[in-house]
Amino acid sequence: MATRTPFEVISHTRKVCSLYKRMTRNLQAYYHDRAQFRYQAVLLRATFDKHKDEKDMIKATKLVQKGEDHLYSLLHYAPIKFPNSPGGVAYDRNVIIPDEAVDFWDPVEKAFYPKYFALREQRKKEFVELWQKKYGKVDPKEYEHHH
Amino acid sequence: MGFNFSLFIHWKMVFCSFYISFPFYLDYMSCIFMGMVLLISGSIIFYSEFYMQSEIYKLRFFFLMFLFVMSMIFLIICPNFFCMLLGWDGLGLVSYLLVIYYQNFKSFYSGLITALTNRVGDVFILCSISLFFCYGSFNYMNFFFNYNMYFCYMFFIASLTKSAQIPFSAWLPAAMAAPTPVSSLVHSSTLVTAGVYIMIRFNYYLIQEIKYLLMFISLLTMIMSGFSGMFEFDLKKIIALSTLSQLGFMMSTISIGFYELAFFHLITHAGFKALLFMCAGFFIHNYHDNQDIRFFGLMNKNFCFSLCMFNIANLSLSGFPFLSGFFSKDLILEFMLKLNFGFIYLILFIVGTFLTVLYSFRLMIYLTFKKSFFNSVEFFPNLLGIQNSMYLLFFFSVFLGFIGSSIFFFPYNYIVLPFKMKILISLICLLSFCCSLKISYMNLELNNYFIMYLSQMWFLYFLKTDLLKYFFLNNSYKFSKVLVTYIENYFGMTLYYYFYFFSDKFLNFFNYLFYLFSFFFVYYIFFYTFLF
Repeated sequence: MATRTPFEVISHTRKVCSLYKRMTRNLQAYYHDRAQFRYQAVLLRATFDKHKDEKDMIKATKLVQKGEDHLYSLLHYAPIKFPNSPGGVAYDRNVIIPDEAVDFWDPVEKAFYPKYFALREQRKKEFVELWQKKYGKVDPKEYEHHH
Repeated sequence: MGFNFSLFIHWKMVFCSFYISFPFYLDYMSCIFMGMVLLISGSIIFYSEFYMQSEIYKLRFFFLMFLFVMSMIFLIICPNFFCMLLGWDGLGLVSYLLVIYYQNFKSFYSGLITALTNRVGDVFILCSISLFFCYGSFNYMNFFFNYNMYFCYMFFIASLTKSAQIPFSAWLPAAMAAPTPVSSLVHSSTLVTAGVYIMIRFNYYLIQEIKYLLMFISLLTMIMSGFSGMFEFDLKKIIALSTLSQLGFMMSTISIGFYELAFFHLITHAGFKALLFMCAGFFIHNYHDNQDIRFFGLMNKNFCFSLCMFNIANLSLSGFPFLSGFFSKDLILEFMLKLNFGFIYLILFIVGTFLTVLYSFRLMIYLTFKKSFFNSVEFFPNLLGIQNSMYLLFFFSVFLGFIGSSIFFFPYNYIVLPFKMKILISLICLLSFCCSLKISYMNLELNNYFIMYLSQMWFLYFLKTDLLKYFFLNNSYKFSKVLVTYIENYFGMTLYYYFYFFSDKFLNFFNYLFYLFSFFFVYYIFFYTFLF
């Protein structure tokens, strides 16, 4: 289980905004007709706007807590998830393995394809030469203090 | 039946000192089923050439599809248990590879569930092979009279796993993580019907206790999947659940002894279900991989042709008069009414039919009449290749029932029932149509555990996936590293969170269960370390 250590201080504004967004998304899951959804969203906005100028922080925190409880009591059983966002159906479908992964092969594995790897080494050299020709040589001492 | 002709080919490959024999059994059943499988797979391979155009690993996909069709044909034509196991295992393995075709975690878990559940069935088939050693031959038609009861139970459980009946039904909706052409071929007409097909083939062996058990399980499956289809929002999952309900329908038909009628329904169902999935894939493709039906709507404006096909296939599924589903389904239902086998079973049957019509009409209303959540300018309304691949299946999903009932199943056509009984099914369908209108325009804004219970397949899905994922897999990983990090994992700040979630608000029911298990573990460690 992941440790739930708080890594940052979440401001009150952010908490309210997050709550508002989650509540609206939850409404979207319930009301499939756009007009009905808009009506409910306006009502929701009105309840948020009512306490817009709340100066007492204790009261405001309690209101957020109340809102969270209300949201929990109305959570949809199948929330809307966008397909390409985390949790969606098409999220992270195609993982393209980067080309440099081949460089990390074991020498024994590389020995199975001697022709390919010889050509690969040559191509790498050619690429470095091309780069140096275009942008100039880089002195490796310049980068030493970065590490 | 006018089809008493059958052909048994024994192909012997003789080597120096031994031979390998490979038998084929061709009768009307295997020929019709094989023809249907080849027709559907041909259309789908033609379809997926357009659907999978922009995929990176297209070649792997096509090879897997061909492998799948090959193993399905092995399963259909081989009467020998060893050869049948080749097809059976091939189906399980290739379906696993097809489900994990996309490389995200969701596909991985779904594939795991699919493979593990099918493995249970494979084990039982292997056990029954070992039992066959007592009989001297592995061809299953040699044992009409002299057979073992354990063998009967074994292939019963094997076919339950393949056909996703109730204890094993979580994998079928999970397997919808595969690409849509795969769902169309694998999870509608071939893989899941393999269990039904085996049951039809082995109908001589079914003893009475198994028949009762099968009827109970299949009717429960039918109702369970109907309810979950009613509350589900994922387009592909709804169609998968409708497949599950139809499988339950076929299984219950076998359990009362009408295996030929079950076979007829299998064939007609294969046609329109494949068409349904193909249209669904077309919609999903056009809505940029969106599967949620809340996003869909007003399809008659954008995809007239595909929606027309989709709706006709859907009507055929719900048994609209004189489409292909009607001929098989109505026949079975009227036989059920005629048989008088118990009031409760009859009620279950009628509720199952009611739910079938309900979720199909709900789906139609959502796609046709509801307003869309977003409009894209990138629709491809007339992709000719995709449409061409649908024509043949469309023809079959309209006319196959008529052809089948007038040629193959002629003697079953005359059923005499009292008027009220005769009209009962039609009335149920009408009632269901009205309910579907009500349900699709209903806005229930309440967090109802009962709806959650119905929509999550009576928590079968939770038992199979979430428990496996969150409890066994995660904890096995943790226990492997427990010496290093158990203090961080189970004490310190985390302990505070256990109490916090326990105190008044835990995120949902599943988390509650998870924390419950984990809490007992913490409790155990705590006392163990302090007391001893």
